[in-house]
Amino acid sequence: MTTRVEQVMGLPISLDLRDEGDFAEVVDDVFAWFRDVDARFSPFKEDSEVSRYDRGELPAEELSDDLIEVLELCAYYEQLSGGAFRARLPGRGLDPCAVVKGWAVQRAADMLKAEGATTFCLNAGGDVVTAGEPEPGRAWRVGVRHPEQPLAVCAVLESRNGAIATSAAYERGSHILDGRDGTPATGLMSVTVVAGDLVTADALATAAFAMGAEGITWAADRPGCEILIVDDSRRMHRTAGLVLASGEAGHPRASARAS
Amino acid sequence: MKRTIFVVALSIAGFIAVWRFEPGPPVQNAAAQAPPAAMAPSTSAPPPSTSAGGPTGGTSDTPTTSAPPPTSSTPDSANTTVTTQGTAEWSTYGTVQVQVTFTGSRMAAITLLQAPDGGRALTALPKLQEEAIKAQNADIDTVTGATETSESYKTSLQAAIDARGKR
Repeated sequence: MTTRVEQVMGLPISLDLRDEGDFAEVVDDVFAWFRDVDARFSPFKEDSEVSRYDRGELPAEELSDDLIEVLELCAYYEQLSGGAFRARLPGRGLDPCAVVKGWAVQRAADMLKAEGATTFCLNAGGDVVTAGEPEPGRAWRVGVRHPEQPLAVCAVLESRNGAIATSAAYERGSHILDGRDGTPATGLMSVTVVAGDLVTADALATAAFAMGAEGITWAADRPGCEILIVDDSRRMHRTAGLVLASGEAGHPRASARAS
Repeated sequence: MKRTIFVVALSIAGFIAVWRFEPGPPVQNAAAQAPPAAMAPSTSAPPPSTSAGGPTGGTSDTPTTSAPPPTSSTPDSANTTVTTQGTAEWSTYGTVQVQVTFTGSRMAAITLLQAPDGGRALTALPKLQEEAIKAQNADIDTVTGATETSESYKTSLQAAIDARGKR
Protein backbone atom coordinates (compact mmCIF):
# COMPACT_ATOMS: atom_id res chain seq x y z
CA MET A 1 0.00 0.00 0.00
CA THR A 2 1.22 3.43 -0.91
CA THR A 3 -0.21 6.82 -0.12
CA ARG A 4 1.46 9.82 -1.64
CA VAL A 5 0.47 13.45 -1.97
CA GLU A 6 2.39 16.08 -3.89
CA GLN A 7 1.73 19.51 -5.26
CA VAL A 8 2.48 19.36 -8.97
CA MET A 9 1.12 21.34 -11.93
CA GLY A 10 -0.34 23.69 -9.35
CA LEU A 11 -2.53 20.86 -8.12
CA PRO A 12 -2.60 18.67 -5.05
CA ILE A 13 -2.19 15.16 -6.44
CA SER A 14 -3.09 12.24 -4.19
CA LEU A 15 -2.34 8.63 -4.96
CA ASP A 16 -3.90 5.86 -2.87
CA LEU A 17 -2.46 2.60 -4.16
CA ARG A 18 -3.75 -0.54 -2.47
CA ASP A 19 -1.84 -3.26 -4.30
CA GLU A 20 0.61 -5.39 -2.35
CA GLY A 21 4.17 -5.27 -3.57
CA ASP A 22 6.80 -2.73 -4.41
CA PHE A 23 5.53 0.00 -6.64
CA ALA A 24 7.97 2.66 -5.49
CA GLU A 25 9.62 2.99 -8.87
CA VAL A 26 6.48 3.49 -10.93
CA VAL A 27 5.06 5.83 -8.31
CA ASP A 28 8.22 7.92 -8.61
CA ASP A 29 7.84 7.80 -12.38
CA VAL A 30 4.24 8.97 -12.14
CA PHE A 31 5.10 12.05 -10.11
CA ALA A 32 8.11 12.74 -12.32
CA TRP A 33 5.72 12.59 -15.28
CA PHE A 34 3.52 15.23 -13.70
CA ARG A 35 6.51 17.50 -13.19
CA ASP A 36 7.53 16.91 -16.78
CA VAL A 37 4.03 17.77 -18.03
CA ASP A 38 4.09 20.94 -15.97
CA ALA A 39 7.39 22.01 -17.50
CA ARG A 40 6.33 21.23 -21.04
CA PHE A 41 2.66 22.20 -21.16
CA SER A 42 2.19 25.07 -18.76
CA PRO A 43 1.18 28.25 -20.58
CA PHE A 44 2.51 30.12 -17.55
CA LYS A 45 6.08 29.03 -18.14
CA GLU A 46 7.91 31.08 -20.75
CA ASP A 47 10.04 28.22 -21.98
CA SER A 48 7.41 25.51 -22.01
CA GLU A 49 6.70 23.71 -25.24
CA VAL A 50 3.21 25.20 -25.27
CA SER A 51 4.49 28.75 -24.84
CA ARG A 52 7.12 28.32 -27.51
CA TYR A 53 4.57 26.81 -29.88
CA ASP A 54 2.21 29.67 -29.17
CA ARG A 55 4.91 32.23 -29.99
CA GLY A 56 5.52 30.47 -33.29
CA GLU A 57 8.98 29.31 -32.27
CA LEU A 58 8.34 25.62 -32.89
CA PRO A 59 8.20 24.47 -36.49
CA ALA A 60 5.62 21.79 -37.15
CA GLU A 61 8.24 19.06 -37.47
CA GLU A 62 9.53 19.79 -33.99
CA LEU A 63 6.22 19.34 -32.21
CA SER A 64 6.29 16.40 -29.85
CA ASP A 65 3.78 13.61 -30.28
CA ASP A 66 2.35 14.57 -26.89
CA LEU A 67 1.71 18.17 -27.94
CA ILE A 68 0.16 17.04 -31.20
CA GLU A 69 -2.14 14.75 -29.25
CA VAL A 70 -3.13 17.53 -26.87
CA LEU A 71 -3.79 19.96 -29.71
CA GLU A 72 -5.91 17.38 -31.49
CA LEU A 73 -7.91 16.76 -28.32
CA CYS A 74 -8.47 20.51 -27.91
CA ALA A 75 -9.69 20.78 -31.49
CA TYR A 76 -11.97 17.78 -31.06
CA TYR A 77 -13.68 19.08 -27.94
CA GLU A 78 -13.93 22.58 -29.35
CA GLN A 79 -15.81 21.21 -32.31
CA LEU A 80 -17.92 18.85 -30.18
CA SER A 81 -19.01 21.66 -27.87
CA GLY A 82 -19.79 24.16 -30.60
CA GLY A 83 -16.98 26.39 -29.44
CA ALA A 84 -18.00 26.61 -25.77
CA PHE A 85 -14.79 24.81 -24.96
CA ARG A 86 -11.86 26.68 -26.45
CA ALA A 87 -8.15 26.37 -25.82
CA ARG A 88 -7.41 29.70 -27.43
CA LEU A 89 -9.73 32.54 -26.63
CA PRO A 90 -9.62 35.70 -28.75
CA GLY A 91 -6.90 38.01 -27.50
CA ARG A 92 -5.40 35.38 -25.24
CA GLY A 93 -2.64 32.87 -25.56
CA LEU A 94 -3.02 29.16 -26.03
CA ASP A 95 -4.21 27.55 -22.80
CA PRO A 96 -4.71 23.81 -23.19
CA CYS A 97 -4.82 23.25 -19.42
CA ALA A 98 -8.38 21.96 -19.44
CA VAL A 99 -7.33 19.07 -21.66
CA VAL A 100 -3.78 18.62 -20.37
CA LYS A 101 -4.86 17.87 -16.82
CA GLY A 102 -7.20 14.99 -17.66
CA TRP A 103 -4.83 13.70 -20.31
CA ALA A 104 -1.80 13.73 -17.99
CA VAL A 105 -3.60 12.05 -15.11
CA GLN A 106 -5.07 9.37 -17.35
CA ARG A 107 -1.59 8.73 -18.74
CA ALA A 108 -0.30 8.36 -15.20
CA ALA A 109 -3.05 5.86 -14.39
CA ASP A 110 -2.10 3.91 -17.51
CA MET A 111 1.55 3.91 -16.35
CA LEU A 112 0.49 2.38 -13.04
CA LYS A 113 -1.58 -0.28 -14.77
CA ALA A 114 1.25 -1.10 -17.17
CA GLU A 115 3.43 -1.92 -14.15
CA GLY A 116 0.80 -4.25 -12.74
CA ALA A 117 -1.11 -2.00 -10.38
CA THR A 118 -4.75 -3.04 -10.27
CA THR A 119 -6.19 -1.20 -7.29
CA PHE A 120 -5.72 2.50 -6.88
CA CYS A 121 -7.34 5.89 -6.69
CA LEU A 122 -5.52 8.82 -8.25
CA ASN A 123 -6.92 12.26 -7.52
CA ALA A 124 -5.47 15.37 -9.15
CA GLY A 125 -7.12 18.52 -7.95
CA GLY A 126 -10.49 16.84 -7.77
CA ASP A 127 -10.25 14.85 -10.98
CA VAL A 128 -10.24 11.16 -10.19
CA VAL A 129 -9.18 7.91 -11.85
CA THR A 130 -9.98 4.68 -10.04
CA ALA A 131 -9.01 1.08 -10.66
CA GLY A 132 -10.24 -2.11 -9.06
CA GLU A 133 -11.85 -2.36 -5.64
CA PRO A 134 -10.36 -1.07 -2.38
CA GLU A 135 -11.98 -4.03 -0.62
CA PRO A 136 -13.35 -7.20 -2.20
CA GLY A 137 -16.84 -6.52 -3.49
CA ARG A 138 -16.73 -2.81 -2.78
CA ALA A 139 -16.27 -0.02 -5.29
CA TRP A 140 -14.33 3.15 -4.62
CA ARG A 141 -16.64 5.71 -3.14
CA VAL A 142 -16.16 9.13 -4.62
CA GLY A 143 -17.80 12.04 -2.85
CA VAL A 144 -18.91 14.93 -5.05
CA ARG A 145 -18.04 18.21 -3.39
CA HIS A 146 -21.05 20.23 -2.39
CA PRO A 147 -20.92 23.33 -4.60
CA GLU A 148 -21.55 25.67 -1.68
CA GLN A 149 -19.98 23.93 1.30
CA PRO A 150 -16.28 23.05 1.05
CA LEU A 151 -16.40 20.25 3.57
CA ALA A 152 -19.65 18.66 2.52
CA VAL A 153 -20.51 16.32 -0.31
CA CYS A 154 -23.75 16.41 -2.27
CA ALA A 155 -23.56 12.86 -3.62
CA VAL A 156 -21.42 9.77 -3.35
CA LEU A 157 -20.64 7.87 -6.54
CA GLU A 158 -19.30 4.36 -6.95
CA SER A 159 -16.43 3.73 -9.31
CA ARG A 160 -14.32 0.68 -10.12
CA ASN A 161 -12.40 1.11 -13.36
CA GLY A 162 -13.30 4.59 -14.45
CA ALA A 163 -12.83 8.31 -14.18
CA ILE A 164 -14.74 11.17 -12.62
CA ALA A 165 -14.18 14.89 -13.16
CA THR A 166 -15.94 17.95 -11.81
CA SER A 167 -15.99 21.51 -13.07
CA ALA A 168 -17.52 24.01 -10.72
CA ALA A 169 -17.71 27.56 -9.49
CA TYR A 170 -16.84 27.51 -5.84
CA GLU A 171 -16.16 30.31 -3.44
CA ARG A 172 -13.82 32.13 -5.75
CA GLY A 173 -16.18 31.93 -8.64
CA SER A 174 -15.57 30.22 -11.91
CA HIS A 175 -12.54 30.81 -14.03
CA ILE A 176 -14.08 28.88 -16.88
CA LEU A 177 -15.01 31.06 -19.82
CA ASP A 178 -17.62 30.35 -22.43
CA GLY A 179 -15.51 30.12 -25.56
CA ARG A 180 -18.38 31.33 -27.71
CA ASP A 181 -18.26 34.86 -26.35
CA GLY A 182 -15.34 34.88 -23.92
CA THR A 183 -17.49 35.72 -20.91
CA PRO A 184 -17.49 33.77 -17.65
CA ALA A 185 -19.69 30.71 -17.82
CA THR A 186 -23.01 31.02 -16.01
CA GLY A 187 -26.01 28.84 -15.32
CA LEU A 188 -24.44 25.89 -13.55
CA MET A 189 -22.83 25.48 -10.16
CA SER A 190 -21.21 22.12 -10.61
CA VAL A 191 -20.81 19.58 -13.41
CA THR A 192 -19.60 16.07 -12.65
CA VAL A 193 -18.97 13.61 -15.46
CA VAL A 194 -18.27 9.90 -15.07
CA ALA A 195 -16.57 8.25 -18.03
CA GLY A 196 -14.27 5.40 -18.91
CA ASP A 197 -11.25 7.68 -19.01
CA LEU A 198 -10.33 11.02 -17.52
CA VAL A 199 -9.62 12.75 -20.83
CA THR A 200 -13.28 12.37 -21.71
CA ALA A 201 -14.64 13.07 -18.23
CA ASP A 202 -12.55 16.20 -17.72
CA ALA A 203 -13.11 17.71 -21.16
CA LEU A 204 -16.86 17.06 -21.09
CA ALA A 205 -17.22 18.51 -17.60
CA THR A 206 -15.36 21.65 -18.61
CA ALA A 207 -17.27 22.01 -21.86
CA ALA A 208 -20.69 21.45 -20.25
CA PHE A 209 -19.88 23.96 -17.54
CA ALA A 210 -18.82 26.48 -20.16
CA MET A 211 -22.07 25.96 -22.07
CA GLY A 212 -24.23 26.76 -19.06
CA ALA A 213 -27.79 25.47 -18.79
CA GLU A 214 -27.76 23.92 -22.24
CA GLY A 215 -24.76 21.88 -21.14
CA ILE A 216 -27.06 19.66 -19.06
CA THR A 217 -28.72 17.94 -21.98
CA TRP A 218 -25.60 18.23 -24.09
CA ALA A 219 -23.53 16.30 -21.55
CA ALA A 220 -26.32 13.80 -20.93
CA ASP A 221 -26.37 13.05 -24.65
CA ARG A 222 -22.69 12.07 -24.78
CA PRO A 223 -22.42 8.32 -25.15
CA GLY A 224 -20.57 6.37 -22.48
CA CYS A 225 -20.93 9.07 -19.83
CA GLU A 226 -23.01 9.68 -16.74
CA ILE A 227 -23.56 13.12 -15.33
CA LEU A 228 -24.49 14.85 -12.12
CA ILE A 229 -25.12 18.57 -12.50
CA VAL A 230 -26.21 21.16 -9.97
CA ASP A 231 -27.71 24.17 -11.70
CA ASP A 232 -27.87 27.72 -10.44
CA SER A 233 -31.27 27.02 -8.93
CA ARG A 234 -29.71 24.19 -6.90
CA ARG A 235 -31.59 21.54 -8.76
CA MET A 236 -29.68 18.36 -9.36
CA HIS A 237 -29.74 16.69 -12.73
CA ARG A 238 -28.39 13.23 -13.15
CA THR A 239 -28.46 10.49 -15.71
CA ALA A 240 -30.22 7.25 -14.88
CA GLY A 241 -27.06 5.20 -15.15
CA LEU A 242 -25.18 7.12 -12.51
CA VAL A 243 -24.10 4.67 -9.81
CA LEU A 244 -24.68 6.13 -6.39
CA ALA A 245 -23.15 4.58 -3.30
CA SER A 246 -25.35 2.10 -1.50
CA GLY A 247 -26.08 4.60 1.23
CA GLU A 248 -28.59 6.04 -1.13
CA ALA A 249 -30.18 2.79 -2.21
CA GLY A 250 -33.91 2.91 -2.45
CA HIS A 251 -33.96 6.47 -3.55
CA PRO A 252 -35.85 6.89 -6.79
CA ARG A 253 -33.38 7.80 -9.45
CA ALA A 254 -34.25 10.73 -11.55
CA SER A 255 -33.73 10.65 -15.25
CA ALA A 256 -31.30 12.99 -16.86
CA ARG A 257 -33.71 15.72 -17.59
CA ALA A 258 -36.03 15.28 -14.67
CA SER A 259 -36.21 17.50 -11.67
CA MET B 1 -17.01 6.87 23.34
CA LYS B 2 -14.00 6.56 21.13
CA ARG B 3 -16.04 6.61 17.99
CA THR B 4 -15.21 10.14 17.24
CA ILE B 5 -11.74 10.26 15.85
CA PHE B 6 -11.48 13.89 15.10
CA VAL B 7 -13.45 16.97 14.51
CA VAL B 8 -12.52 19.70 12.12
CA ALA B 9 -13.95 23.09 12.76
CA LEU B 10 -13.32 25.69 10.17
CA SER B 11 -14.09 29.32 9.77
CA ILE B 12 -14.02 30.79 6.37
CA ALA B 13 -14.53 34.45 6.53
CA GLY B 14 -13.34 35.06 2.99
CA PHE B 15 -16.08 32.82 1.75
CA ILE B 16 -18.45 35.61 2.38
CA ALA B 17 -17.42 37.85 -0.43
CA VAL B 18 -19.11 35.46 -2.75
CA TRP B 19 -22.50 36.33 -1.50
CA ARG B 20 -21.85 39.93 -2.23
CA PHE B 21 -24.70 41.40 -0.37
CA GLU B 22 -24.73 45.05 -1.11
CA PRO B 23 -25.76 47.15 1.80
CA GLY B 24 -29.05 48.18 0.33
CA PRO B 25 -32.69 48.04 1.12
CA PRO B 26 -33.05 44.71 2.86
CA VAL B 27 -36.52 44.07 1.54
CA GLN B 28 -35.21 44.39 -1.95
CA ASN B 29 -32.41 41.98 -1.17
CA ALA B 30 -34.86 39.53 0.22
CA ALA B 31 -36.97 39.70 -2.86
CA ALA B 32 -34.03 39.25 -5.13
CA GLN B 33 -32.16 36.53 -3.31
CA ALA B 34 -34.60 34.45 -1.37
CA PRO B 35 -36.85 31.93 -3.00
CA PRO B 36 -40.53 32.32 -2.32
CA ALA B 37 -41.63 30.73 0.89
CA ALA B 38 -43.62 28.18 -1.06
CA MET B 39 -40.39 26.81 -2.49
CA ALA B 40 -38.79 26.27 0.86
CA PRO B 41 -37.50 22.74 1.33
CA SER B 42 -39.74 20.46 3.27
CA THR B 43 -36.81 19.44 5.41
CA SER B 44 -35.95 22.91 6.45
CA ALA B 45 -36.53 24.16 9.90
CA PRO B 46 -39.69 26.04 10.58
CA PRO B 47 -39.08 29.72 10.23
CA PRO B 48 -37.55 30.99 13.39
CA SER B 49 -39.57 33.48 15.25
CA THR B 50 -37.09 36.14 14.36
CA SER B 51 -37.73 35.73 10.70
CA ALA B 52 -40.54 38.21 10.54
CA GLY B 53 -38.32 40.84 11.93
CA GLY B 54 -36.27 41.35 8.84
CA PRO B 55 -33.00 43.15 9.16
CA THR B 56 -31.61 43.56 12.57
CA GLY B 57 -28.46 45.24 11.79
CA GLY B 58 -26.30 44.95 9.14
CA THR B 59 -22.66 44.45 9.61
CA SER B 60 -22.23 42.53 12.79
CA ASP B 61 -20.15 39.41 12.69
CA THR B 62 -21.78 38.17 15.80
CA PRO B 63 -23.70 35.00 15.21
CA THR B 64 -27.35 35.66 15.46
CA THR B 65 -28.40 32.17 16.32
CA SER B 66 -26.81 29.70 18.63
CA ALA B 67 -25.33 26.62 17.10
CA PRO B 68 -27.54 23.57 17.00
CA PRO B 69 -26.36 20.58 18.97
CA PRO B 70 -24.22 18.31 16.79
CA THR B 71 -26.28 15.58 15.28
CA SER B 72 -23.37 13.19 15.44
CA SER B 73 -24.25 12.26 18.96
CA THR B 74 -27.02 10.05 17.68
CA PRO B 75 -25.39 7.17 15.81
CA ASP B 76 -27.32 4.79 13.60
CA SER B 77 -29.60 7.56 12.68
CA ALA B 78 -28.99 7.80 8.98
CA ASN B 79 -32.39 9.30 8.50
CA THR B 80 -32.06 11.86 11.19
CA THR B 81 -33.28 15.15 9.93
CA VAL B 82 -30.43 17.59 9.75
CA THR B 83 -31.86 20.92 10.62
CA THR B 84 -30.23 23.94 9.16
CA GLN B 85 -31.00 27.00 11.14
CA GLY B 86 -33.21 28.97 8.84
CA THR B 87 -33.03 32.63 9.57
CA ALA B 88 -34.00 35.83 7.93
CA GLU B 89 -31.37 37.97 9.49
CA TRP B 90 -29.99 39.93 6.59
CA SER B 91 -26.53 41.15 7.27
CA THR B 92 -23.79 42.34 5.03
CA TYR B 93 -21.16 40.08 6.50
CA GLY B 94 -21.26 36.85 8.38
CA THR B 95 -19.14 33.83 9.21
CA VAL B 96 -19.28 30.39 7.70
CA GLN B 97 -18.42 27.64 10.12
CA VAL B 98 -18.64 24.00 9.24
CA GLN B 99 -18.07 21.13 11.61
CA VAL B 100 -17.16 17.74 10.27
CA THR B 101 -17.02 14.69 12.48
CA PHE B 102 -15.34 11.53 11.33
CA THR B 103 -16.04 8.26 13.03
CA GLY B 104 -13.29 6.00 11.86
CA SER B 105 -13.38 6.25 8.12
CA ARG B 106 -16.92 7.40 8.22
CA MET B 107 -18.05 10.96 7.95
CA ALA B 108 -20.52 10.96 10.76
CA ALA B 109 -21.72 14.50 10.57
CA ILE B 110 -21.24 17.74 8.80
CA THR B 111 -22.81 20.54 10.68
CA LEU B 112 -23.09 24.04 9.40
CA LEU B 113 -22.72 26.01 12.57
CA GLN B 114 -22.85 29.45 11.04
CA ALA B 115 -23.49 30.76 7.59
CA PRO B 116 -24.14 34.09 5.99
CA ASP B 117 -27.70 34.81 6.87
CA GLY B 118 -30.05 34.29 4.00
CA GLY B 119 -27.16 33.85 1.64
CA ARG B 120 -26.82 31.32 -1.10
CA ALA B 121 -25.46 28.68 1.21
CA LEU B 122 -28.65 28.19 3.11
CA THR B 123 -31.39 28.96 0.68
CA ALA B 124 -31.19 25.51 -0.78
CA LEU B 125 -33.91 24.18 -2.95
CA PRO B 126 -35.06 20.76 -1.88
CA LYS B 127 -33.11 18.69 -4.29
CA LEU B 128 -29.54 19.71 -3.53
CA GLN B 129 -30.08 19.95 0.19
CA GLU B 130 -31.90 16.62 0.35
CA GLU B 131 -29.18 14.89 -1.60
CA ALA B 132 -26.44 16.44 0.48
CA ILE B 133 -28.06 15.26 3.69
CA LYS B 134 -28.36 11.74 2.35
CA ALA B 135 -24.82 11.70 1.01
CA GLN B 136 -23.05 12.90 4.10
CA ASN B 137 -23.47 9.63 5.97
CA ALA B 138 -21.67 7.53 3.39
CA ASP B 139 -18.08 6.36 3.59
CA ILE B 140 -15.93 8.04 1.04
CA ASP B 141 -12.48 7.24 -0.31
CA THR B 142 -11.90 10.44 -2.26
CA VAL B 143 -13.56 13.64 -3.41
CA THR B 144 -14.22 14.96 -6.89
CA GLY B 145 -14.52 18.70 -7.23
CA ALA B 146 -11.93 21.19 -8.23
CA THR B 147 -9.28 21.79 -5.62
CA GLU B 148 -7.39 24.33 -7.60
CA THR B 149 -4.85 25.69 -5.18
CA SER B 150 -2.66 24.50 -2.38
CA GLU B 151 -4.50 26.91 -0.11
CA SER B 152 -7.93 25.50 -0.87
CA TYR B 153 -6.50 22.01 -0.60
CA LYS B 154 -5.39 22.60 2.98
CA THR B 155 -8.94 23.08 4.13
CA SER B 156 -10.49 20.48 1.86
CA LEU B 157 -12.12 17.19 2.55
CA GLN B 158 -9.53 15.51 0.34
CA ALA B 159 -6.75 16.79 2.59
CA ALA B 160 -8.51 15.24 5.58
CA ILE B 161 -8.81 11.95 3.72
CA ASP B 162 -5.15 12.04 2.70
CA ALA B 163 -4.10 12.75 6.28
CA ARG B 164 -6.17 9.82 7.46
CA GLY B 165 -4.51 7.50 4.97
CA LYS B 166 -1.06 8.43 6.24
CA ARG B 167 -1.60 7.53 9.84
